[in-house]
Amino acid sequence: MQTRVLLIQVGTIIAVIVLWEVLVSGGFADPLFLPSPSTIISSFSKIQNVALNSLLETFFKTLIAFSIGAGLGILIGIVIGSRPLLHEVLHPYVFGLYSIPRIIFLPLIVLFLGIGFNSNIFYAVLHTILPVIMIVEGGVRNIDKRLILYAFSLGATRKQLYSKVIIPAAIPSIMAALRLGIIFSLLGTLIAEMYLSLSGVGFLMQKLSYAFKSAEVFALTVVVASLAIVIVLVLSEINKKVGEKWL
Amino acid sequence: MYHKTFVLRSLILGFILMMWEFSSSYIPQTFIAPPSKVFPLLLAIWINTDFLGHLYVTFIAILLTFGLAAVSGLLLGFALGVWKLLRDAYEPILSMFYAVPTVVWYPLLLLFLGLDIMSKVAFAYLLSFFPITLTTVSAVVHVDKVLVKVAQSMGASKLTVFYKVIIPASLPTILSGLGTGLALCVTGVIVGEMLGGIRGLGVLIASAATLFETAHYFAYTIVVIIIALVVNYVGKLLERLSRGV
Repeated sequence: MQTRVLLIQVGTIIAVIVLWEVLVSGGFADPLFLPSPSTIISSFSKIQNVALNSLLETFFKTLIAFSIGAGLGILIGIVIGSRPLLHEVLHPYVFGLYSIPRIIFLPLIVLFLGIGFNSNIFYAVLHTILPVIMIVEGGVRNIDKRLILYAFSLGATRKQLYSKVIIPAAIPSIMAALRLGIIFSLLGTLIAEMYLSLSGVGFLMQKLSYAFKSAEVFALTVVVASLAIVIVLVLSEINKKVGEKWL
Repeated sequence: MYHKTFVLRSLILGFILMMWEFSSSYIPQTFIAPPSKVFPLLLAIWINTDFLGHLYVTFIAILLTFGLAAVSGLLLGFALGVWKLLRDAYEPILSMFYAVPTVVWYPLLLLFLGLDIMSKVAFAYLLSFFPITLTTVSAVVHVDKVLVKVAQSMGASKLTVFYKVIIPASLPTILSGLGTGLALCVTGVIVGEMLGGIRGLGVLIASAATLFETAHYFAYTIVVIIIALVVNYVGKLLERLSRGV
């Protein structure tokens, strides 16, 4: 079974690449728009130097935005989730902000913060914080009410209630929020770089595509996509480890 | 309790509006347009401008994307949900693509499909296709096995099991996936239009912002917010209805 699954997976990927190569070299697609896999592979070396610097910068920005956005988001999520009145009053606002496409705030951000580092971070934080709040808030609200009741009846103080009951019980949802949050940070950083930056991967991709260097754009896309996949795989590994420890 | 929350919510909204109006008299109007200017404009843009034309383009793009994403996502989702071998092979690949920040594809899509509506449709499709498919897969997989067994033991054919058991039992989760997908279609089309386009609501927002027509920018933004809220509300309503609550 396992080998058959692997066979199908590898077979599909190879089939797509071969079909693609044949389609382009057979003249069915314009290589100006759709470069063949072999051209893409050879253009990796062309973008190597620029791409590495941009990748580092984007990664750095993503990490900063992630720390701020996820940290604040978890805090706000726990506070709103654990106080029923706060939840009742604020939830429509959080949900509203969450459902609005964040990109419509980009022009406002550029007016106030200009282009570059600050506005990129601000936008990426905005992108990260709302889903994190939503998930953590939901997780905290789903905590078994009996646990809280028991803790209270055994004489727990408010502080103990948070540190011993609410936060440990919310760990799974916090982990889920972190996993989603890093992807949203990366997404936010890339969008911000495309629109309001003069450096970073997002800017580089936009620039290359305006210059019609589609093979380079493709190569860069492959790099960024692989980076995102690696981040997610690492995080779900950590998630498993933490899950084993806590549950 | 209900009245208290309602009053508090309204107070917050009132406070935001007041701060908005108040702050705009201290901050240059290129930065913030006051509500007293934005709300009249919100009525005025419907007459004597091409606003409806732009709105129409965005609307068509959203509908087209959602139709494509829903049909293909549901088909693939059901296929993967029912066939275990296919699911084991393709679900990891789909989840991987889902993890890629979709916006990295947008420059490529602009190259392939041009500035017109198709690049937005393709971008929003990539954004909404994966959640719809993956939600459908998980909905079908999590259908109670007992229900399927019972139907089979009563002599139901595979097709009957699919129509009478699997679809009804997985419907609530699937509808919530479709709701998410629709919201992402709206986001995708507007993001695509803002990053590069010819006509549409996103294009209007981007150009108003570039021209420092801040009042117009605020008015269009409010329109987008209303669309997004309505779409999300409809999604939630559908899900609630299908759960029979």
